[in-house]
Amino acid sequence: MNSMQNAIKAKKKKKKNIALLSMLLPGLIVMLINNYMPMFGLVFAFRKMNTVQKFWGSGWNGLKNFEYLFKSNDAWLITRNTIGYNLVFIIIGIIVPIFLAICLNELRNKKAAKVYQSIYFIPHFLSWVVASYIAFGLLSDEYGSINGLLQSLGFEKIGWYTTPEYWPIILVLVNTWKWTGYDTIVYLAAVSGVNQELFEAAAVDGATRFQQIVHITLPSLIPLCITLVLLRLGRMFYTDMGLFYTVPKNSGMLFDITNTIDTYVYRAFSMTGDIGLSAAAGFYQSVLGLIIILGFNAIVRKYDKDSAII
Amino acid sequence: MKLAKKSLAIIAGMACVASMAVTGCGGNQSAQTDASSTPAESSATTEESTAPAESEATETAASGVDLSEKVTITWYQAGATEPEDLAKVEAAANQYIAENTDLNCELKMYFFDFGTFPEKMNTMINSGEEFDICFTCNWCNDYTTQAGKGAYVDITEMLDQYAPKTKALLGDGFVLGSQIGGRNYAIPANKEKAHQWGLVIRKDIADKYQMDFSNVKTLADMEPFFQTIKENEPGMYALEACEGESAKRLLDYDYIGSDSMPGAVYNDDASVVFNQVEKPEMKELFQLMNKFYKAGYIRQDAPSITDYQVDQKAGKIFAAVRSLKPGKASEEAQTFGHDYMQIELTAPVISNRETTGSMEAISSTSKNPERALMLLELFNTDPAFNNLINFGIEGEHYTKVEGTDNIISQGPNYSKYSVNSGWALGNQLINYVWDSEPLGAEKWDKFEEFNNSATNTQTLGFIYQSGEVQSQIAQCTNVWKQYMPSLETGAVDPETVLPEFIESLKAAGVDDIIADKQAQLDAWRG
Repeated sequence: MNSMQNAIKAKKKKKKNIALLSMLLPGLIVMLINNYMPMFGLVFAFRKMNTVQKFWGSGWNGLKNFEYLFKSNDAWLITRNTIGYNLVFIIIGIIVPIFLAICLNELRNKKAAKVYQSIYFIPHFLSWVVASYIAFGLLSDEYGSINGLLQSLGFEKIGWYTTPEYWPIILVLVNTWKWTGYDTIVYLAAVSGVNQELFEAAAVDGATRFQQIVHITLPSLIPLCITLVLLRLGRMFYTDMGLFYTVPKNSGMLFDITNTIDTYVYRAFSMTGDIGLSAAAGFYQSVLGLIIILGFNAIVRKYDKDSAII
Repeated sequence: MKLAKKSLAIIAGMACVASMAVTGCGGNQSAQTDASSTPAESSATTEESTAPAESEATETAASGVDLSEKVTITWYQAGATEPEDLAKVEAAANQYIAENTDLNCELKMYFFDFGTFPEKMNTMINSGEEFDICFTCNWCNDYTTQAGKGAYVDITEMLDQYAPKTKALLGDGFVLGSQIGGRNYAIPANKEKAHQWGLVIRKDIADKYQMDFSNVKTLADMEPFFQTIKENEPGMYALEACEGESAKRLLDYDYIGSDSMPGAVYNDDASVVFNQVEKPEMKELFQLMNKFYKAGYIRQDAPSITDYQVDQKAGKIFAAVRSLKPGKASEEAQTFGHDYMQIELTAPVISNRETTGSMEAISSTSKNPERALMLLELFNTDPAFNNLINFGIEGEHYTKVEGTDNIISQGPNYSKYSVNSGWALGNQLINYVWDSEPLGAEKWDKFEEFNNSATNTQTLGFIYQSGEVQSQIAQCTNVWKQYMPSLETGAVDPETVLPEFIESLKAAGVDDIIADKQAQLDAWRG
């Protein structure tokens, strides 16, 4: 009797959900087309792709397409740069936006908070080309504002685009400028979603504003933080072409510092146009990304099962 | 939040499964087939697919053409954005065709700038769209790639029947030089046929300091003049240098394949392919550039500059290395708005750079390839028709200077039809000459003279195919881009950087590339 009732209930539930599930359909279709169909392209990584006529290439090529990634002297350098920058970006991407989100949340003047929030967010809407010209306006050898300032203060001007030493800092600054606003809004949403009763109870118990932040706000941000980090770790072996190619203006003298897997591969293909090589690079990046994401997820699951995504 | 997490989990799981499935499958199969695919097999497939498809047109060509049906010939041309009065000029052209020929066709032209053109053509060709004629060359809408796809009609035999005058006009050097595997897929424009490297110099500035260049034979001879500029003209760069656009070109090697990749031969001796970066004359040039750079003759951030036009337009360039031809200085003056003179430093040479530098091809989707070729023949040989497309309608877009028949000045509606790309449109030697050009009516005689004075490189007609060493080329591209701009602009000392560069190239497999180029060249030379 009981089980029958349950079955009927389940059936009813199913019916009720059909409408909701059908709403999922468009998203799933888009994902199928954009994310799953291209996966067949991974085959290209193992094919000889030197003809335009044959879509699937001609003959298998074993692991030969991967060779150029590992054979060169640059293999270590580009991997180091890719991972190094991404780690720094992830860490900064946690600290700065959370700090700003909390600050914005604490602001009494909500109108001002909205204004600041918009100001942080604007860079996100500028394309990398625009960003690169803003950087060029600051750093240009002759007309750059920074060199102008240096000279008027009696210092020698600096050839920014020919001196690699400064670029780790410049790249990190530009990336932070571009992404902070976006992340801040995500965290701000979570901060304002924290149950207000917790704060009220803490206030009754005599907790200061700072104690409330440390013991209530920050812990409640951890799940979101982990999800965002996980997503970003999956892209650990990818870098933004805009940031690493457009902003340094593809300047050869900066390659030791600015060359990442993506820019290396891009430069190689703009010359050879060989789809097999580029597919191999993409394949390598995704496999490593998958390993990292699964690894980190396993660690997370060990300590906090609810925060893990798988 | 929980729902989001759950769906995330599902997505991540699906992604993981799918990618693993594909990985596993790809890995296995590649291992299996690796052993079975022999080099002979793979080379056979490459050959088959690189030889452009023989088109049916060649067969029907012999049977003569039926001109009774009126057809439309569509023509995609690069060079200028669509002129405002194009429709007017087209109408005039069609009237001319109807009145003076029995081609019985209507011409429809489309103009695109060089930036959008390759993309446009790529889309059209890859989607099999129907058109008749298009511009193609080795630097824009790549000739070998498109012909390799089978996008163009093989016109080798058709030329004799439908365009004999054009063939004679171009001469054997150009007809053979533009072949791929012994077949013609496009008609080169008849223009200057050689290149010659040298300097264009701001004439007004040179006159101001009464400079005498009569003893200048090499770039090094320019040093005292650069010194004068440095001392007296603040804000002016004595010598232009930026990536690619540098004095390196004065060495004028005959590059096998790309200019920016090791592997070249000498113009007069193609027996040995070498890595030009290792040559002593290359090192000397780098040293000279470094000396100039340190002396302040070159822009200090030169290695990161890619667009030279900005400085030249602003009048900040005193001397620049350019590919010269008769009247280059006045062309430069028209484009950049300053007064220029030119100094030739290398001998004129006909190389693959020129033979495939500007061409018209007939699309394999064309319904009337014979008619299209006949139209091109008319275009290349009939001055009235050619100049109509190049300069527009007389009295409207241009006016003839009194007492001459081929010198023209701008007409009242010049701005509505200013194509100005005669070098890309058919036969420049039958073009009118603008009255602002100092060579005047003699311009085309000078071109002819220039063409006749040039010698052919020994690799004329050889096209290198890089399929076998793609991964080495991929690696070398990065090394090249890292070192070459700073060396060629003089920003670094070759004593320390050049050995590093050569070493990195070797590690990136440059020797394989050189060997491959040598092998293909040897096979071609027979």
